[in-house]
Amino acid sequence: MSKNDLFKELSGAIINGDEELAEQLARKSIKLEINPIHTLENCVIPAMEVVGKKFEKQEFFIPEILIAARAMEYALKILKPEIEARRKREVSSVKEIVVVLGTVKGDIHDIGKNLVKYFMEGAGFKVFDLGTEVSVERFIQEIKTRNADLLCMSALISTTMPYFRKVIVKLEAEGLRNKVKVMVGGAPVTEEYAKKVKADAYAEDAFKAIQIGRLLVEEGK
Amino acid sequence: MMTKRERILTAIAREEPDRIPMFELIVDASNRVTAYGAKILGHIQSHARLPIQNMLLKGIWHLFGKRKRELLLRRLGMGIAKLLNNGIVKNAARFDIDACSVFLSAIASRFDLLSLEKYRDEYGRVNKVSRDGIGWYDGGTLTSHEALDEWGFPNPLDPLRINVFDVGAKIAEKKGMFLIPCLGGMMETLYEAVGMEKFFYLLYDDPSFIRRIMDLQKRFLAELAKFLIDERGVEVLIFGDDSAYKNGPMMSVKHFKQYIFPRYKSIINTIHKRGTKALLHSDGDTHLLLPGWVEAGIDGIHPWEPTAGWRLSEAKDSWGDQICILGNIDCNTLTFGPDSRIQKEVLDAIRDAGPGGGYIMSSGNSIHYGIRPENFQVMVDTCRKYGGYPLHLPKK
Repeated sequence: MSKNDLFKELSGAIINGDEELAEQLARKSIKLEINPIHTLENCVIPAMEVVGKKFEKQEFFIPEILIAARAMEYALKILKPEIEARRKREVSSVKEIVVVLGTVKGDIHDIGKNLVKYFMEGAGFKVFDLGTEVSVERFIQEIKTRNADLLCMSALISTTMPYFRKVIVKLEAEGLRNKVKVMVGGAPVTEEYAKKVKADAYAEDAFKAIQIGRLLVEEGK
Repeated sequence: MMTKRERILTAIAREEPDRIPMFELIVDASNRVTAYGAKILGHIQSHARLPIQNMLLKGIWHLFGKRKRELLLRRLGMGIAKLLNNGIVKNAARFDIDACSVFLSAIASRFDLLSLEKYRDEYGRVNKVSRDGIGWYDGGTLTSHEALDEWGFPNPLDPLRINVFDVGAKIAEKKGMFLIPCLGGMMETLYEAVGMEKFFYLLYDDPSFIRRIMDLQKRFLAELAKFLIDERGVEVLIFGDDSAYKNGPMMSVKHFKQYIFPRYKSIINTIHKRGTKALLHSDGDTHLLLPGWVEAGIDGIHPWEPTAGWRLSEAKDSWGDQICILGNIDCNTLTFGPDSRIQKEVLDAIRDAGPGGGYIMSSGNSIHYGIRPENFQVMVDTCRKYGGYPLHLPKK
């Protein structure tokens, strides 16, 4: 099997959510000594981009994204150890953006946040998902520990979204505001509200979160 | 002057009542205490509710054997359901709106205490009580045929459920409120029972399980609806069925056509044969789902969530000749105000959806615990002032 054929098949397996085939093909790519960083950058990430575009065009919905993300994870399970080993030796063209992600305190809704995580991982971001009900202190601590480029906060109810501002105020007080970009989202959140709490951006869905997140971090560098 | 019942039924029949009726799915209990000045009581309620509840649960846990414990917890579950539902009816009556709901699928007719902060309800849903006493859905447990066999499926005619309805109905009658019971739905209740992500995986991994649980829920909804109509004279009911997120349906229209719409059609036929009307509540951007729901026979949709992109003018223009429109004053506006913005949104809503009738005013979701009652009062007062037919609205 040629590299191109394998990439085509692996891409199809991810897009169609066939996790067993994705794992099998990822193994095959290692056996064929295809550089796993190339597999990630030229096959896995573009496949998830296709998934994102289908989601945007309303050809795919949450179930299709979940099964595609699962197939991607099965492939990454095989590719990641190889990638880590090679990354120590080679420079990848894709900048690894470090993201701290969580649903704010008082709010336990997480499906939207999880979709952002899947998409971001699929786009090659390094995501630290803090889960739900995340406090100001926890966000700050993780941003410091992980040296994060991007903070993504989610809220599903109008009473929990003011917590965005609390976190941003603390970032300012800790002198971190210029080091980390802040993106917010969730059902009641709007562009206007994101501006009001002085976030850098609002993302209306998981796919846009990657595009806007990457732009924010790259422009901010 | 029309009664509240007449006003609601006229609007659902897409005609003009004497004035625009108002409906809320939930008017949260904590609003009432603040609204009427009893702030100390509100403080005690919000800070002491959980410790008291924990103390009760701890006592039950330690003092009684398994059988007695289950019985007591079932009673406690029913007590909580009654408290919540009765609170909704009483609060709605305080604001003198026309109609509200009681929730008949959120009752804990089974009450499996997992920890002092978590319990599992009749649908296998795990609910978590947070530190401030607010209950949240925390995940599902009916994840396979085996799990479903072991836990079972709720009995629509469970005497506790009927009792919760009867008590709510009695209060509604006393307070002069028109009651629209909320039965749960084909989609939301089940993805909560299974767990949201698991439910979506199972659509592909085990469609036979999805079909099975859907058929059980269809039977549940049809049996409960039949009972409420035949035995209790219910004239309007509502399915609580969040099926969309901010930018679109949670699953493809293909899946809705395969699993949801045909089952709704069958349930609604049963309801319509008895002369009762069926409404449906779903948050999110429901644009793609409207044709399926309307084709299934739904008589009205609530709440056309504004933060998911719905404008009432569009709802009325596209669907106002087929269904009743219920919505959609933005909950963000109701949370943060100011009064002038609330008044403007109410006037815009009347302007956009009021002409010709077929419109019931409501918030864009519910009067949840974060909405200041004073703000809700502004909404109610403005609708009362300008919502009389024939409409005479101030110029923009």
